[in-house]
Amino acid sequence: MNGQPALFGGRPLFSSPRPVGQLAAPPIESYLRLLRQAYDSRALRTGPIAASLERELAAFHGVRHCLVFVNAGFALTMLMRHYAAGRHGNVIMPAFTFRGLPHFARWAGQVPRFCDVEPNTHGLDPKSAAAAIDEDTVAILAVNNVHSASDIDALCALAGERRLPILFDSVYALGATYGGHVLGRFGNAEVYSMHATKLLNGFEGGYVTTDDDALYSALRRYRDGGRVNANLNEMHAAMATLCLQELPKVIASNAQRYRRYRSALASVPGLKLLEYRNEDIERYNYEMALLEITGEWPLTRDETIKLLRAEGAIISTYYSPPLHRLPQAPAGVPVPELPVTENLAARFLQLPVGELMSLDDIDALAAYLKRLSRNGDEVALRLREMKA
Amino acid sequence: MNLPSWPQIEEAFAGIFDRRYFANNGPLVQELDATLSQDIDGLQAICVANEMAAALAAVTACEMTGEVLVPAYASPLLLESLAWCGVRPVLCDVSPDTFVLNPSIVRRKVGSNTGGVIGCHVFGVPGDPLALEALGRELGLPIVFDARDALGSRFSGRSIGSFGKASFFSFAEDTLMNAAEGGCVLTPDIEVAKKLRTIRNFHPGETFAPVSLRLNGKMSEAQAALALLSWNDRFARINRCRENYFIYRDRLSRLRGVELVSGRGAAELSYARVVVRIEPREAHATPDEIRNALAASGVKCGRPLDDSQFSASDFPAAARLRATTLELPQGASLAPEDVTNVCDAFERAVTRPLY
Repeated sequence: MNGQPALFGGRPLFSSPRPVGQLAAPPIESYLRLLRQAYDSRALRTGPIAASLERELAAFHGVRHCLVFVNAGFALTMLMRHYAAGRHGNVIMPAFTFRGLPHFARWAGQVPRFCDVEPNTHGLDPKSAAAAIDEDTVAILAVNNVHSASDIDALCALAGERRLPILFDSVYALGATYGGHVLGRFGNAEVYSMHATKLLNGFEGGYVTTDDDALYSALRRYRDGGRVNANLNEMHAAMATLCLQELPKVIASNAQRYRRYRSALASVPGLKLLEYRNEDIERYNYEMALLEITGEWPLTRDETIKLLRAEGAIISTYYSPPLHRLPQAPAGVPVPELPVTENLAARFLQLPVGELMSLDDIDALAAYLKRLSRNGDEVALRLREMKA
Repeated sequence: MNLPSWPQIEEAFAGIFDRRYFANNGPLVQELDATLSQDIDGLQAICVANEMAAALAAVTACEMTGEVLVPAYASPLLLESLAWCGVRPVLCDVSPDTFVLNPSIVRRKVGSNTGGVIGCHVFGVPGDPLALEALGRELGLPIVFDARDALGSRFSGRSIGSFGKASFFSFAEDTLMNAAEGGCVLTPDIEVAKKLRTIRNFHPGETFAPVSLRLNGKMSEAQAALALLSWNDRFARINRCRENYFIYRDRLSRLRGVELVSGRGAAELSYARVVVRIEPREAHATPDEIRNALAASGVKCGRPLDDSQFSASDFPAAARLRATTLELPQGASLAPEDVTNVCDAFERAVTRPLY
């Protein structure tokens, strides 16, 4: 081996951390120029930059309305509270997704009802959702994933049939398409994030897109009526405004990085990069490179993560553990069998991506993984000895 | 408005862009938490996205369940936060002298389902937190304080933030501490602090204690940058606000039926807000009449409890406070001459015969 793994005392592959977030940013001069406008008018808490951002995002997504929020969590909670209208029921959601979703349901006074996902889209399985809906169900919360939208048609049909609102968390699918149409218009509303690690960097922030006029009015009154603190401040709105302008470039760089991973890792036995589905029809943002550890790989997923983190690749598992196995899974609620979720939750890790990951870095990481595939058994032995 | 100089802002953001650390408990947020702690009696400080996140986190960290006693004039924001926490607010009238919750009121309303009490430092004036704190200990109930505008104030030699289990504050641009938007929870309790640090985000690495629920309540580096600049500059602003306050007190104390809301003797104010109580019979004018007269002179005033929705007949003391208060202009950028002009207009409004 060309030097020991850092975990065994060797020099780390990366001299500075390589995270999994996008961390895109405009030139600081541009940012300060825009921020100065807000500063000069002494309006930093709310103002015209956020309002203008809403119009631009609505145009980007091809929808009638956009509302910006302090973050996506508040947006989702407020949407669910709106549809709950004071009722305490349940919200249908996939179990293979971001760990915050059940919390948002609870803040909305609802019990999260976890369902299985489909193996290809990783999205909420319409059959599993249908089986879980009961007379206390208040809403369906589905997720559009980075590599594929959910089966939006089937889920919306189910929602229509059962007369339920359906919300889409499209946080990792910003800019992606479904059936060739850019996401944003589907269901009753979609929710996106403007957190710094996401495709669109607004420091912290979130937004809702919808074509539903009544929902837009109600949500706007809720946000601005003095009962909640949920607005997006101008400092964040300015950042997001400028990053929105750079989005096509960011997506192009992401695609380049993804393709580099794909070619570099193609020949490494035991590793499989998750494909973006139907790339001939659909567009994606390529903000993640998800690696599947298969049976041939000599190490466990956890061991692999441990080794890579020591090298400076600040990576983690992908949606593991599944939501129904987390401490906040509500006690006393029967959980159905979720075989696809359980299977998927064990398979993937996130590779470092984003602005801090160069193509050379990707090559270096791939080479490291290649070496690991050859010497993995020795490494595994040594790791397990270390543990004992 | 409490804003730092533009060069200071440029420098702060240059640092943020340089480090490429925009959010997720970055170095500035950590520095802000540490600085506030150091400067406020060594209390634990947990900064968050906004006042509502602070309220949600505080109530959750203190594990309030069931019913929570609050003053009748609790803000709509506090009431909505309690609804999100799944607890039922029980409105209580306040003391007719101090206009805050006191032990006798709380004792009358405490029931088997009471899970906590939230005192309010209304208008930023410390509302006898000692008595409520002692009562909380006696009854085994967590006491949290809505200290929205009370950052920097003290009571009986202790900082607001040190009383009860936790207090939450606002860093919105209309407060002493301007982070554009932001909030903070202060607590003397290390275990509560661990819960707060866990509650405000979802990162497995930022998990310090078992909690019932978590939220995205993170403050960004941009907010922390502004807050740090604002905090480090506070003495100049507090001094200016104090100066203004003394002018108001001096001039308005000469008027019958007009009194500045300033708490009892043990309260040390931050002077962030100026609120007066008007006794219409003695002042020969109602708060609304005075407000209109001031508006005619170009002075903008507010009725500070206008957005509270409790019924006057059920809560007479709180109703009296709502009916008799008027908020006057205040802030570091308000010059002494401007304050004098407001006082002149105020004087004319109450001494000028109306009929």
